[in-house]
Order: sequence, then structure tokens, then C-alpha cells
Amino acid sequence: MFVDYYPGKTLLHRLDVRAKLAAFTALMVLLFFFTNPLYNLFLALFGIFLLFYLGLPTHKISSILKPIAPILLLILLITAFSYPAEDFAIPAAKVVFYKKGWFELSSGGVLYGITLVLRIFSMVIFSSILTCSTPMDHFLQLMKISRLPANISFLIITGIRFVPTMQKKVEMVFNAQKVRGASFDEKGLVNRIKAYIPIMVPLLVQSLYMSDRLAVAMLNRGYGAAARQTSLEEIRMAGTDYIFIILSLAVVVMGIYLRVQGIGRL
Amino acid sequence: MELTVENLSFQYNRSPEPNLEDINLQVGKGEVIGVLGVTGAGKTTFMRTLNGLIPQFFEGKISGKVLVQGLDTQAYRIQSLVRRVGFVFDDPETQIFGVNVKEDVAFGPCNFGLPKEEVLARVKKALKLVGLEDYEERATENLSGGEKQRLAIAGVLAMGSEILVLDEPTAALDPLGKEAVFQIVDLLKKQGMTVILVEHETEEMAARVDRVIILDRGRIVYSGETKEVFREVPLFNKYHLRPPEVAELGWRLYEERLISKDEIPVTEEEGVALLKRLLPPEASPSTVQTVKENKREDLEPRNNAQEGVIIEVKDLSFSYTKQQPVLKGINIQINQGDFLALVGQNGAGKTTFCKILTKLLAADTGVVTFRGKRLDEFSHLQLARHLGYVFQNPDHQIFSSSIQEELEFGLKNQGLDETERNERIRKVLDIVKLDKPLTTHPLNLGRGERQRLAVASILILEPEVLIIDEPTTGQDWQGTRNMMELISELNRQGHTILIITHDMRLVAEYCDRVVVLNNGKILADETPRQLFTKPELLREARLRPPQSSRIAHQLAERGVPQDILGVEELLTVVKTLINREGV
Repeated sequence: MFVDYYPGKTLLHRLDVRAKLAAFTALMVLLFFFTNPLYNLFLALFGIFLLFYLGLPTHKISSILKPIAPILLLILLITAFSYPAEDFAIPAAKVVFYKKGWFELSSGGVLYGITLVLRIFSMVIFSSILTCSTPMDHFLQLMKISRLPANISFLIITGIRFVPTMQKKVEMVFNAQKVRGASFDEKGLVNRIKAYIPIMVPLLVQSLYMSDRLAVAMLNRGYGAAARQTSLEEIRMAGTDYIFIILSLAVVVMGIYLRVQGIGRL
Repeated sequence: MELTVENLSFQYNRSPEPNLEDINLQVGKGEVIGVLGVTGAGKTTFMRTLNGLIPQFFEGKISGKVLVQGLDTQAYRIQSLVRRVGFVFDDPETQIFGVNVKEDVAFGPCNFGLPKEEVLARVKKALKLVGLEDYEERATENLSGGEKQRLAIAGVLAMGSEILVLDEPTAALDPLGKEAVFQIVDLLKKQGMTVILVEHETEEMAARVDRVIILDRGRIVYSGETKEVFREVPLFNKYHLRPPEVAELGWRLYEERLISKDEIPVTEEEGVALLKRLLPPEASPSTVQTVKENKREDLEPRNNAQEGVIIEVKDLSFSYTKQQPVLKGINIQINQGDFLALVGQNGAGKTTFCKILTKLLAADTGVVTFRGKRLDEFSHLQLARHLGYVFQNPDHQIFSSSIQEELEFGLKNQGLDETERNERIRKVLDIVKLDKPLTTHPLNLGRGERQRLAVASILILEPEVLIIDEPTTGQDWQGTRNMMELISELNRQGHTILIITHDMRLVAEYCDRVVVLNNGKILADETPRQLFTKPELLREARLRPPQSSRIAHQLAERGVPQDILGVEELLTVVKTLINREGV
């Protein structure tokens, strides 16, 4: 779900991070307004369109979607069997395919399952689009200019900054185990997860050690010397960004209207 | 006085004994001070007292006084002191905060709340000083170790510090990175900056500092003018430090009463000048012949290589991304019993090459065979019995919480039973001379001991080939020598050894074969003796032969053979030349 920045020059890349967050929030809200899969299907297709618009290579897209596929399938199955027909309002959802005791497979259950699947699918896609089109730097700047206390935003920023470092460490420990004959590829998921356990210990120890060094390095650079720190650059909003924010608002208002009218229910 | 240290003693809260005892030091403006000492001698502890980190961050019992430009470090906040004393650490990773270069250098000045224009001006100036102009927008993550270290220096300079403390700034760098850092030190010295330089690279130190102090067990055991200190070669041996080769040579000449003590050279230039004075201007052909004969007597072939190719690499190519090939068509045969050094700049492809040999990476094209069998036919489990790979940094490799667990990991994978495992553990600890309880947590071991444990954890699988990535990086001279002696011993016992190293002095002293990698290609593959006679080739790979070889190169017309390997040989040659003239 959390995908690296993918450089490009599309409109999405150029938009201010705030405008993008507004649109993102609007889409997220919309996803939860409707239970009828048709509406979420529309949103999901819109998401897929954007993915291609960004120019993401297919292997990257599949790397986003592959890991969630089994979860989606599971959700579909469980939902389909756990909502009886009487829970639904519209006729199309009231068809019962199979019933034995409390165990009931209804068209509504299937449809609702599809809605949930599309919801999660779209959430993954939209958040990927957001992170793909926005450099980490912009998020960090946003944090700086928002009213988050300086300490907290620094904490988050430093945390993010050291994610690649920790990733490297994980890989190194894996390699260290491989050269001593451990095999991760052959034994399946459980063993892979098991292999993480011995990694957690040195990683934890190392990160404690690293945090100590970081604290020293921060003091060494005068962190906390002045009450107010200089900020170097600030992200700026342009005309298109305002238009985007207004559009997002409009879409949400429209969604609320449709919902009140009872459209999009199951 | 820029810095005044008076009767300073300190003991960390958890330490059983004092870490610093009765330190006195005065440093004037513009002075460059070198600090020497083995790991654990108290160098870093001492440095931490200079900007208030001790006792304000690292707590403990302190007595005495440290004054920085007149300010008492126990009375002023660390954040105020760092504007006067800038500190650069050995690890380039944990002192960089910015996502890009500009942001990182600006971190200090921004913390002081300086106006934006002032911050940007300082960033520019600092980056120019360290030779990183035009790097402003680069992502810090993608910088090389050397660049990161220069960035760290820039970050400190941007705060406007007038005293710079460099704590083993080049410990983790390749020769090129080291050189750049030392050039910055020279530049800063010229600009009147006060510098405290903690280093193991004594040859570089001798060439640029004004005064040297030697620390041992928390005390200053010797201090004096640079020349005066470096001429005391026995002192270096006593405190387990590595004297520059030229000083060693000078000391031997002094012992033979060929020169006076004041004539002992401490830098390469002084060495060349001295020998030019001592040696006859021209050597007759018969003298040259005698020199050669005499020299050959000292030459003991160390080659343990036997018949039979153990690893063969054919047309090996590899790239992480299409734009940047890392290895381009490597062909090499490694013989059983070789003691091979893989040298070259960082990024030349050394570690990548070793990772392919151990199947951590898969080659794009080409074939690697082990005893005639393709590498693809081995699983990691099978390969581990034949090919051992010790990582560069032991902390990247050790992942268990006791010595026993660490050593057992590979054995358990092989499915050995407990009796066999314990037997092997006992044996391997004996070989690497690690004499600690098996329940000891690896992090409670010293750096050198952890390196030994890392080697032991691989060695315990009894692989025929041992690949060791920079076995001595970050270690003091004593640790370095112990590690190299261990590897040598393993080679004598029949293990084929491949080490990656930047230390040409070690290559000269221990290896029988050296392979130079440059830009993903093998530039040379020969004995160290042959290689060090080729300065142009070495320059292309941005490597430097050991000091004794460099001196020999500058004395060719005096009849000094070019294939000098080490101080002993150079000494024999010089003595022969002087004696012949006397006859």
C-alpha cells in the first residue's frame, strides 16, 4: 500500500500536497457512502485510470495489488455467507441462493462483499497514487507548516528518514543467515515469518544504539538551541490547487446529497 | 586559549574504572592536534568532554575543568557550546538528518533560528569548503560514504564552529574518501581553524598535525611536537600503534647508527630527502647486482597456493539497474590455497563480486563454478559448507543473543547433533582465540572480538574458501594485526582466502595475490610485489602502494630496486648501497 515516489510530470505530480490530500480524503469518504457495488466500481475504475495516467509500469502496479488479492477473496467469501437476505432493502439483494439453518448465501451478501472488496481495492489504489505522485519531502514540509509541535514532526521525519537504513539492516541479517545455510525461499510463508524473529532482536538492539547516537548527533547540531527554528522553504498553493480543493468539496457534498436521497443503498 | 583542559578525570556511571584520568591540555587558535591511542584508550570519551556531551549527556563522575574559548563546558548548554566546537563522528550514517544535502547542512543554522538568507549563505559556503558545491539537491541517501562524511563536516562548519573535532573521520572510508577528508583538514588548517584529529592513519597524521598526544587507559602518556613523537618508534610499539613505515625505517637506521635521532624522517618527503642524502648519487651495475642478490635472500615466498582451481569465473556481468553495470565481463580463476586480496575503490564492484560468489546475488550473464560444478547446482545449505562469507561489519552479521547461539546457527541448519556442535564450537573458539563464556551477549564484546566471532560463525562450518569483507576496517593496529595473523594461520592450514581490503600495507605483508577491480573490470591480477611496481596502473584505480614502495619509486636512479615490499627490504637495500659505497 505504501509505494515509493515515482517521478513524473503529470498534473497529479504537479499538484500541491494539500490539494491531493483533500481529493484523497474526498474519495475515501465517498467510498464509505454507498453500499451498492456499482458506485464503488465506478470509483475503482477511476483509480485504475489514474494509475495508468501516472505512467506507472505494470509490474509496479501488480506488485501493489498482488499481496492483497488473497485477503480480498477471503473478505468476499466471508461477507457473502454472513449477511442474510432480510438485511437488505432493494429487491435485487433479496434473492436467496442457498439456505441451511442460519447459513445463508444471498445475492445481497455477494453484492455487499463486492462492495467491500472494491472499497479496500480502491483505498489501496488511491493511497498508492498519493504516495507515487508526491515526494516524501512534500509530506514532511506539510508536517512542518501544520501546527504539529516541532518535536513531533521531527520525530516522524527522522523515523521516515531511517526506514531505508533499517531495511538495509534487515536485508543484511537475512544475507548473514543465508550464507550460513538458512533457506527462506523453499519453506513457505510460516518459515519466512519465523525467520523474522531472530532479526527483530538485533534490529531492536541496533535501533536503540542508533537512537542514542542520533540524539548525540542532534545535540551536536544545536537541536533545541533556539525556541523557533528557521524553515527553509514552504510549499505553495497555486490556482489549480484551490480549484481541486473546491472540486473535492463539491464531490463530497454531492455524495451526501445522493446518500440522503437513498441512492446507492443495497 | 581556544581549549583548556585542566586536571580532567571522568568515569562513566556504569564503568568499573576511571575512563579519563588527570588530563591536561592547552590548544591555541589555529593549532592542529593529533590524538592517538588504541580502541578503549579514552579518545572518544575525551572528545566528548570538549563540547559538554560529557557530563551533560553521558553522565558520570567528573572532576577538573574544560574551557572552550573561556566557557566552562559544565556550565553552558551543549547547544551553545556546539557553536564553538563542531564534532564529526566516525559513522557517516547517524549524523545526517536531511533528505537532501542542502537541508542537512542547514539543519544546524536553522536550529539557531538564523534568518533564512544567512542560513542559505552559510550552506553554500560550507559546501564549497568540503567540495560538495552543486550537491545541494542531491538525496543524502544516495551519497557515498566519503561524500556523507564531507557533508557531516559541512554541517558542522555551517554552524560557524571555530574548533573542529574529528573523531576517526576516515575509519569507514575508502582511500579516495580518506584523501578528500584529509584535504579538507589541510584547507581548514590554512584558514586558521583549530582542529583536533583522532586517527589511526599515522602516515596521514604525521604529514599534517602540529602536535600529537597519545592516550592509553585514559591517561595522556605522551605528548609533543609531531616530529618528536613520531621519531619515538618504540613508543608506538609500546602502545600498540602503527608507526609510519618511513619512521620505522628511520628508527632502524638510527639504531644502526647511520643517522642521528633528529634525522629520523616522519613523512614520505623527508624520507626521500634523507635517503637521497645517504645514498651515493649513482650506483654502479655491480652494486645494483649485489643489491639484488642481497634482497633476494630476504625474500621468502609466502605462496601457499597448490595445484587446482577451486573457483572459476567466466564472463561474469552484473548490474543493479540497466544504466549502471557494476561488473563487466569478469574472468578469474581462484586456486586452492590462494591468499587473495581484492582491492579497488568503493563502487568498483568488490562486494558485489563476493555476493555473487556466495549466491546472495545472481549474475546477469556468465558462469561461476566451484570445483567444476556450477553455482546454481548448490543450495545455500550446501554452499555454506564450501564457501564462507564474513561481512564487512560484524554488527551486520551477528544476530543472536549469545556466542553459543551465534555459532550454532549454521550448524543447526546443517542438522548436526548437540555433541558434534559443542565439539565444533570448542574447536573454533580455540582457533579464533575468543576466550569468553558462551552465554556472553555479542554486544558486550569489543569490536575486535565481535569481528572474531563473525569469522568464527562462518569458520565453524569448515568451508574450504573464506571470503572476508574488510576484516580490519574500524579496528586499531593491534586488532588489525591479530585479525590478519588469524587469517594467515587459516590460510596455512589450507583454507583458500579472499579478502577485500583498502590497506595496501596489509596486502604487501600478508597476501600472495592481488586483484585490482576498477569500474567493474579486472585491471590487474598479480603478486603484490609486481603490482606495486606499477604506479600508473595503481593511480588509474586510485590506489596507493605502501609508503616503502612509494619511497623506492622515487629512488630508482640511486639503484634502489622498484619491487620493494616492506620496510625490512628497503632497509636491506639501503644498507647494502651505503656499505658498497664505503668499500
